[in-house]
Amino acid sequence: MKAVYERNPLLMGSNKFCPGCGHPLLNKIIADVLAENNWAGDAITALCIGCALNMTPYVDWDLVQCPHGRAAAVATGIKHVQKSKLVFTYQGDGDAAGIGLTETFHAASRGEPFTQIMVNNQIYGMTGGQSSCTTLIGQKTTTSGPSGRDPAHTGYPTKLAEVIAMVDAAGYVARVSIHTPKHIRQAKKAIEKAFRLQMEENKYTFVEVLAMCPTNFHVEPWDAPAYTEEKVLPVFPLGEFKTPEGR
Amino acid sequence: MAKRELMSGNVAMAESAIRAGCNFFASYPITPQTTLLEYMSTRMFEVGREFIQAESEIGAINMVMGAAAAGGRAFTATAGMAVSLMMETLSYLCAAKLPSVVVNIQRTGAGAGGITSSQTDFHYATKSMGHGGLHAYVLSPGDVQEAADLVYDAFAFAEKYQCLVYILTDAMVAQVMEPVELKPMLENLPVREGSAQGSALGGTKRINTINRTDLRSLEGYRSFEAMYDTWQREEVRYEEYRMEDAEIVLVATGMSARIARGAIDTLRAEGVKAGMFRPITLYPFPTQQIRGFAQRGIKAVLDAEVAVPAQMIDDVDHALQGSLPLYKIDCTWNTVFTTEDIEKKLREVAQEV
Ligand SMILES: Cc1ncc(C[n+]2csc(CCOP(=O)(O)OP(=O)(O)O)c2C)c(N)n1
Ligand code: SF4
Ligand SMILES: [Mg+2]
Repeated sequence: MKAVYERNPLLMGSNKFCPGCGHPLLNKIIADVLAENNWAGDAITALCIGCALNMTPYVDWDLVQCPHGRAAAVATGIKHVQKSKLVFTYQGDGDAAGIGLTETFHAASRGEPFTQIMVNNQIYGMTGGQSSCTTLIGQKTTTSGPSGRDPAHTGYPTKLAEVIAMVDAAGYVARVSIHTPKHIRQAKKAIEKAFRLQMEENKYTFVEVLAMCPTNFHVEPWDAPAYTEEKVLPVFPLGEFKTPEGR
Repeated sequence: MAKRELMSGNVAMAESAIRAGCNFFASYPITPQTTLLEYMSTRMFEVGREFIQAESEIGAINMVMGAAAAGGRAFTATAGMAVSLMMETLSYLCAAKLPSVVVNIQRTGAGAGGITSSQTDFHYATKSMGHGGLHAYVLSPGDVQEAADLVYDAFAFAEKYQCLVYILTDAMVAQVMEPVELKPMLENLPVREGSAQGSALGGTKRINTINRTDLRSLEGYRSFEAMYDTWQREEVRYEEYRMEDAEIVLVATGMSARIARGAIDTLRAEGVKAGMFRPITLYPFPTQQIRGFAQRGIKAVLDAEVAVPAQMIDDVDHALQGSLPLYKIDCTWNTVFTTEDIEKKLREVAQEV
């Protein structure tokens, strides 16, 4: 009998993410892209500090644990030594856009030929729900005060994909979401494209992924997709912000 | 015999790193390290290796970490306050046992400090590599030849013990020009096993630098402790100068030892049995060797260093355990002691014992 669907062997056992979390879903998307393109044996991930740490026992490819925020610099070092390999960072919004903005920006500026994946859940998930530079206006966090993020006090959400798209050496920049099957398919395509442009054309590529964190959105897991649609997408528009010569 | 060339400590260290197989260098400019960085910027390309001028020292040391994790022979050089920017990642390098080599060319004082040569990072380099209490193997060169040799050997040492090797030098050794004989160019070195190179599907080769469960445990930290004990037994290095029958021993490293050497000769000519003990490994410190001074007929010890408050004197004191009287001569900032200052101090000590 022909198998119609099989578990991706790059995902090992169960995972420790919260129910409804975007991270394990994205792990699966990446695992599928790696398996379908026969890239798994070439993959090296510069892994951030954040909830993504739960990936370490879960995914079956090489991981290099980086200090908080420094994944783009670590990936730079990895790629210069392993030039033919598929190198990508996997970082939270706090990691890539907050503490690690300098490393992110300058890796893009130098056009380092690796892929940066930023998982934007608008929160510091791992440390228990503090404000991030990406936190929505009015969103309540453990450090926002009772009325939520107030622009008079902390400004507006950082839109990193739009910033990186302005960098000359960036080859491909997109923002995707994973809250519906349609969006998951688009996200998978964007990640595959980013990896392919790295491998075949030596481009720096950047994919921001809007991910659900029901625990810190303070919604039930099944309500997190609607939350994303209603509250997150109006602030963080989806799309390809930069493609090589319009491809 | 290879030919001797006149070069600065900075250039000698850079060229030695390349000859020892360094294939990745990332760094950010800071006086007095810049000539090392500039040399690497052209020479690394000539030999087909990887060079990056990073966006900051945080960037540089994290690039070093990535290169080391991917099996590269990674190197950076910096100075003064910039070492503070690297500290978090230096701790990670120790914890993940990623072989790498760092040079710190000390400059004076705290905060912005000054650019004059000094020895004010002794405690910082030897007591804990950033947070967490792990150590690098810390070496102090006394002249340009030794700086070249220590950097060259550092790469093999880092691979042998899977550790960080930290060269703690000073602006005097880094900038002075001296004739040097460089060691041969090593080529086609193997890529280290167990590095992140992309694993075949199936998991057996999968590398995960955080999931080192062997290290992230009490047993793991006991294994670090055991490695440091091994260093203390087998890897301590030092120089003894005119120590055979010495009664007064000066303990000094790097620039202080350079200044003091002439003073030993002068005192000997005056009939005083003076000698110099120069630690080359600062971690592990030559504790047992100094502890043995009393049994050798030595009567007093003089610690000389360019740091106020003096730092290395704490380790000398710990080694002596009160067995001998301990004196010090120290200075900092714009005032560096002269050979004559040290001669005078040695005469005073000779009179007291
Ligand atoms: C230098 C440093 N500062 C602070 C921390 C604590 N810390 C760990 S994860 C984190 C925030 C993570 O947020 P994000 O990057 O958005 O990832 P998420 O957990 O939301 O996926 C912080 C502040 C740390 N590990 N290192
Ligand atoms: S806190 Fe949020 S991001 Fe972290 S595992 Fe839970 S749902 Fe996922
Ligand atoms: Mg986050």
